[in-house]
Amino acid sequence: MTPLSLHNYLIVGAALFALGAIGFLTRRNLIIMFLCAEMMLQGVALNLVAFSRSWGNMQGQAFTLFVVTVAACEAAIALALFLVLFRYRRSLDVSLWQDLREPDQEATVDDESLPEAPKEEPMPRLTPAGHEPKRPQETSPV
Amino acid sequence: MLPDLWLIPALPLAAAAITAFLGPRYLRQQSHWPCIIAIALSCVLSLFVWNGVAGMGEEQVAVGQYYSWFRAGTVDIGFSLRADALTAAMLVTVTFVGSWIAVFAVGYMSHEREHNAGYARFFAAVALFIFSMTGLVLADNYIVLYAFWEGVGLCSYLLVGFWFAKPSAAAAARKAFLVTRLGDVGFFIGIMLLWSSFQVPTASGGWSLEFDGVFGHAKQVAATNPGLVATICLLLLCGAVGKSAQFPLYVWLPDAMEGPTPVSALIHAATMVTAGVYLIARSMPLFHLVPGVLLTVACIGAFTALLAALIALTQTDLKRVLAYSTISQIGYMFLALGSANEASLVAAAVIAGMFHLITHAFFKALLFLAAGSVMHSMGNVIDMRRFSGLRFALPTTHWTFLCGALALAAIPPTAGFWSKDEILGVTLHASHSDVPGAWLYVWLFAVGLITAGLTAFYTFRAYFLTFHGELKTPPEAGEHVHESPGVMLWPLRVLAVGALFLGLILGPTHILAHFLEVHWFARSFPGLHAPEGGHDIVLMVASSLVGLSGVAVAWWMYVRSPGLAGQLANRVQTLYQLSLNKFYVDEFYHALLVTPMNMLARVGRVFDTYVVDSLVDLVGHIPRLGGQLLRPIQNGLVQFYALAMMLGMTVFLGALVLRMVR
Amino acid sequence: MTTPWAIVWPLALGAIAIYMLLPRPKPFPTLIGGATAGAALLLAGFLLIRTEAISPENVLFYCFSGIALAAGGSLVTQQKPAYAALSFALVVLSTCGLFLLQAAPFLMAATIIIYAGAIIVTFLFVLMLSQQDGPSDADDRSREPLLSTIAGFVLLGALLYVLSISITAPSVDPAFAPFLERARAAAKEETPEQIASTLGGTKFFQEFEKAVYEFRETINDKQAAAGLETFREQLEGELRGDWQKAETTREAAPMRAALTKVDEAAAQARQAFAASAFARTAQAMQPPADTLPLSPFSGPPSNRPIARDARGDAALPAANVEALGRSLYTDFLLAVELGGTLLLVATVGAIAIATRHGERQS
Repeated sequence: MTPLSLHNYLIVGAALFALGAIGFLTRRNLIIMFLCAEMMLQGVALNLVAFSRSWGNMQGQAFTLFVVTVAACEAAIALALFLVLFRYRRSLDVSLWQDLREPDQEATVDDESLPEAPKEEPMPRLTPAGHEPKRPQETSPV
Repeated sequence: MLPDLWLIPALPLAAAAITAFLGPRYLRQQSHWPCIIAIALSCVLSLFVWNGVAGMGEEQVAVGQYYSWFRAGTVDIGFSLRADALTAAMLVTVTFVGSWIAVFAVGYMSHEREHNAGYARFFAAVALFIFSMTGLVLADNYIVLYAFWEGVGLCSYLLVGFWFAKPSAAAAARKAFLVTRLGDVGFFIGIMLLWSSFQVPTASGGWSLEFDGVFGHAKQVAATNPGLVATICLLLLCGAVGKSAQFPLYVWLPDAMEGPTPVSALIHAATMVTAGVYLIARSMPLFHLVPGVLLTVACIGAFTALLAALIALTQTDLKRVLAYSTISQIGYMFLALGSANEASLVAAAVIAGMFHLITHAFFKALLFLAAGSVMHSMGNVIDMRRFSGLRFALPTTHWTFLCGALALAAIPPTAGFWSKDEILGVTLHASHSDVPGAWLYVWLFAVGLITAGLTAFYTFRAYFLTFHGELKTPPEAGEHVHESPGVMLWPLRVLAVGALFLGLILGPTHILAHFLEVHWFARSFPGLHAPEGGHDIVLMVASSLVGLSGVAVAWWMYVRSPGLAGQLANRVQTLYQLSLNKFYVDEFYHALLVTPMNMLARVGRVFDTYVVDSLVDLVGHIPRLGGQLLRPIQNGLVQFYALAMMLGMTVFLGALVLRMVR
Repeated sequence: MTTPWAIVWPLALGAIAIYMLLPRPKPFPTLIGGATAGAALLLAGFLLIRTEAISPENVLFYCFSGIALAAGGSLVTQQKPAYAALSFALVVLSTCGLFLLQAAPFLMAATIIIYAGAIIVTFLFVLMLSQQDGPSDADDRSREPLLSTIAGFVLLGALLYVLSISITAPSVDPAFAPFLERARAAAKEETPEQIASTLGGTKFFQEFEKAVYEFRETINDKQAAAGLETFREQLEGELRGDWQKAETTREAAPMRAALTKVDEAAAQARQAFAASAFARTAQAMQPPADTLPLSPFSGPPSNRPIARDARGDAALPAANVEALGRSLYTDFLLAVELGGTLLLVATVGAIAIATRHGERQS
């Protein structure tokens, strides 16, 4: 039946939208926040496509195409902004940008400290190109 | 023909406005012109009014109703003016004396000329005062009268406190305002009581306070409820006592001498303080219905006259002596008005009171101006112990002061003699009536006679101390003592002529008596007949003898053997101290009223600071508290804001869904 | 789905799972969180998604939507940004699969190319540029995990509830129609015997009442159900009594009057049902009937009845991509131009923003 089929897609779209919203609200990495926003857009696009199918016309698909267009623009601008922001603070943590609070308000800081990260093995380093690698000196037994 | 009545107050008002707005910037040192011109024009118009009133028939009165001032419910007050004999007599006195005092002030205030604003302010206030005073005497109903009554009070405050930078002047102005306010409250309650109990209907359905309507109803009301009329009269008397500086509210007047001397002459001697006398004379149709109140008026007048005279005996400040003499003389006027305890005496009593009011205006203004001239020459020193023998140094001032002193001492044939004689005569007549308590008037007459002798003594004491003996001047006066300029001397000369001859013109010829009888008495007391007044030769001789003996004693004590006064003072040290300290009335008031009031005010301030203010602060703190509570939300975290939006949307959606499920 | 409260359980499970899986300094065991999430997905699939038969299409739908949601959860909860980006790629891919199932091949291709091909790759580059020193502290923490999870899942619940009431029959017409047709046909007959036989006698009322009862059972709304219940009682008592009385007279006129009465009562019940808030909410899911047609280029306009194929799906143009292109360049031409301009402006803006002003000077 058509309505049920439509509703199945709408449910999935709604779930994607809600998941994206949760991610946008909780995650602190700028890029992950952005990806979550994109996931919300995916949910919406799914919605539109399902309706397009349900009513047998192309308007929903056309609209989805515009959503994708705007998302692309958004991605371009967002990337540029991330680069600039990163240059200032050397981090993508969104919580570093909280200067627009009330003047006498204390800055929000993380009160719980992270557990010590296990020490990682240093990566093997390649010698720079164009240099002769140092080798152990060969001594002739003879 | 009568001129438009509204012009008389309007001219000084316009002058006041012009001086106030243009004076400081444009008129500068010529700021006196609008004031003098306006008062002089008013004076001319007042003479026309006198003439017009004299030309009217008996029981006629000129009433100008200009507009309905306010009307609400049963309150219906029109701005209306009236002209009858009382008004005309007052108007001429006020504007005539006022214009000469304004001229005098040009000379007296000359050192203020450099401070343009002060000079203009002075003349603006004087013009405003003349506006209020003329409005007061022209008023046709009690509310308009009360409005102008407060207007003169305001001007008095402004002018007493003219040198407001001086603490004593500011305090004196405040005292004058507050003490008269005490009386004014009673006055206003009296007016309200009059309004609500008489309920005189007007054309528009309200209750009016027009004089004619009120007095027309008075007899009817008095017949049914004499206590009510007595209460109203006592309340009106309250206002009169305050404004006219009678016991017990006289204490403000001596302090009011802190103002410039022309102000003392104009307001606190010649005109404003007599407003109370005018009020009682105007309300005589009410007062004469309750002889008990009239006896009170007479007692207050006589007691004040004696008390003020006793205080004046020992004062060393020339202006204060004159101030106490003013209180004393207004006491005489009250005594005269209070003697109208019998229908046949009403006309004589009011005529005597008004006559004394007019002559007193002239000679007291003259005395004050002369004292001002002395002050001007002595470098603002007014203590009689610091100068003496000025009769050759200030010749014109000397003889004009002498004229005024003779009039005040009631030496025949000066003005004061005739009017004071009439007062004593009417008091004596009052004692013959068969009204209960009439025997008291004999004692009041005796008090009046004694006071006449005291008046002559302290007046000439001041005269001899100032102008006789060795020439002595204070260092403030400078090397060469000089007579005042002409602009100050000519008003003195004019007023001196008035002080000498006005009584002779108005008194024995019965001009004033006739004028008042025909054009005021006949209308206000229809059906009453005014008996022909005559002069009692015995009384005249007696009172002139008393006056002359007072002068003689003063001459003996201060010219013949100057040490005598000091010896006498030592002999009766207690009495001397009593008089010198003004019978400790001020101290008594201070302990009884001022100190408790101050304490109450302090309690009020504490209440205000800690209770009222904290309440107001609390109201102010509530939004701040709300802001403080909401403030942490503004933490600058983008995600937090997004979460808030999301939560809000969730709440709305949840509510919608829940509504649908139900 | 039988009651609207059934959706609460998968939602609650999902919320707990997401809350547990969100990164934090002292994390819950990932296994428990993952298991909860899986349980929530399965429960939701069982309770919410309904299909009649196991067909390739339905299996694919389950696969794609399951992968999409699982990858979405992974994106939200993943600590390492690079893995998150890859999860997002998975979301995009499976969504594109769903697009394909919904007959949108062009969109599928475009989305894969734009997202997976361009955007995600660029983001990975940025990630590698910015996080050369390994993951930052911020990735191990979440902002307000509890509140956000609750808000998100309450929102989802509200959406699902609205969807659920629009799934169940929004109209009484399919249930009523055969009976009313029968009654009308019977009323047109000539003789009383013919009327009775066409109608089917008293049995008609029993059948009608049963149909109404069954229909009412599917309605999850008291107000809407109450109107139907009244109608059912009428059929059982008053209307059937009238018919029986008319039948005993053996005359056509009273029988016809009784049938008209049934018709009127049915119309009343239909109107009452349509007026209920429940039905009105459900109506919102139906194509609007009174809007102006945009144009015939984007398929059949919304105010015409939808042409359906043999399976009951809406008929689509055969050349799907061509139809989309025709729609874009006719109905949405202006919007396409604006979209192009927007892309240009965004390009210029991105370049302007990202330029290193300070370094060029030095």
